[in-house]
Amino acid sequence: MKSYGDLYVELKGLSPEEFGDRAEAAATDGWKRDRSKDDEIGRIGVTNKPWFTFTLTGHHSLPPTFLFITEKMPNLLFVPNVISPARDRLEYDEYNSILRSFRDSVLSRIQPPDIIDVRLSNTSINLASQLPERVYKSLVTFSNAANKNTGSSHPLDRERWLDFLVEIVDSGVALSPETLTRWLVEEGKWNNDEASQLAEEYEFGRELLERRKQAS
Amino acid sequence: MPTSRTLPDIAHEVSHRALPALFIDTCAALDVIRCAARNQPQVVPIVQQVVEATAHSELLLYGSSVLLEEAARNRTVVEGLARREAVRIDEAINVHRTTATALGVTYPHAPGFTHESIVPSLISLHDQLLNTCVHAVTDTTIQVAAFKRAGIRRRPAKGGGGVNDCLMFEEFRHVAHAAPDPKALILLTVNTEDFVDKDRPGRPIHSEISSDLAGTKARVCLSWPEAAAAVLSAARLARI
Repeated sequence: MKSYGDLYVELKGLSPEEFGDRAEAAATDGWKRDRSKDDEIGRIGVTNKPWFTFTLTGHHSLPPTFLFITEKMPNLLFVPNVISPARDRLEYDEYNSILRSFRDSVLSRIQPPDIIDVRLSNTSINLASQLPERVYKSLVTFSNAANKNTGSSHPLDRERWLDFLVEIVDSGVALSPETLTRWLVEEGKWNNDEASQLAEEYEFGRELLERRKQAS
Repeated sequence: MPTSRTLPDIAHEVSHRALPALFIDTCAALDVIRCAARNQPQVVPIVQQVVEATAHSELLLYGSSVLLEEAARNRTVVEGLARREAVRIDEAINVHRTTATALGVTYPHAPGFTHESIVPSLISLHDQLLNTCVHAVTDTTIQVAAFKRAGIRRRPAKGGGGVNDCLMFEEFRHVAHAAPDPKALILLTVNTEDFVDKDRPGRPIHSEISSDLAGTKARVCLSWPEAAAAVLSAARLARI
């Protein structure tokens, strides 16, 4: 399942301002620092953290882009978002391709190369590896066997659905209803309405079972 | 032709006219066109009452500075959805009619009527709604704030975008803080993906949205019926 990736830049003895200057000097392949945007945002006083805006234009396959970098914690910068004036919302693949382009055409060219560490992660969500095996199996078993027009209402489907709910609460592992909905739609091939209904049942069932667990 | 007003003027009007005020987002406006396809027939009488209430100076109706452009951009897709759903019903009815005829069973119907023929009337109501709205004039400072909001991925922004949603919300937020004691001040959005926290029990409005409206009387409604209950008189609600 695709996801919007996280791009982190660890600074090794370099201030955020020096990073901004060096990244600006290194930028190539259509990437440029947009100091006017940084100034505009500085003037409205929304943040006192370092803030750098980079733009991408004229790329052969990627849309025009604004990419932002700010401070996550001391010596660690990150990209909170990437937006495009050409799109309401970037697709996952486009977004992650833009992060890779920025990494390769700007960050990798910063000199000297050992003053930053770059980490690009979480470009996908894999429930098979993120959930305990038993929990993942019970979810897949339910999803594969269920009648996708009736959700969890058939007695056998209901039984398998409840098994999954018990398994996941017993395991203590976190799984957001939003991620479950996406998995059901994208991997399980459920329609949106049924997936949302199941996610609501999951949310309620989980809350109830956790309350019971705390009380006992 | 739709009228436009600056955000300070809108805030002044909301403060001084002692009328309930309703801001609508693009999805809510487009819901008029797709209401039958989405099984929401109640949207039509509600929107009719909203338009009438505005014309009779019982309600202040506003749209963001990007509403007209966004509605125009997305209209073809939404109209396509509405027409497809209507044609699907027409085709299903024809199948049943043919079957009934073969069986010799009476099948009453209105010759020449198609469900698709309802769509232009829905588009007309949608256009009437947009024309009734007072549209906010673009404000550079609010645009920058919206850009920043999208940049830091603060709701309604999510990964990969959301600038226009942020602009619409920042304009509403500006009015909410500049008009501290409105009779009622409602933002209607049906964009639950971006405004709702789906990971919290009960799926409330996301805390990044509600905290930005804290200290104001403004609130966000997620459906036409919810917004209507907040801004229309009892007499108008009885007509829906």
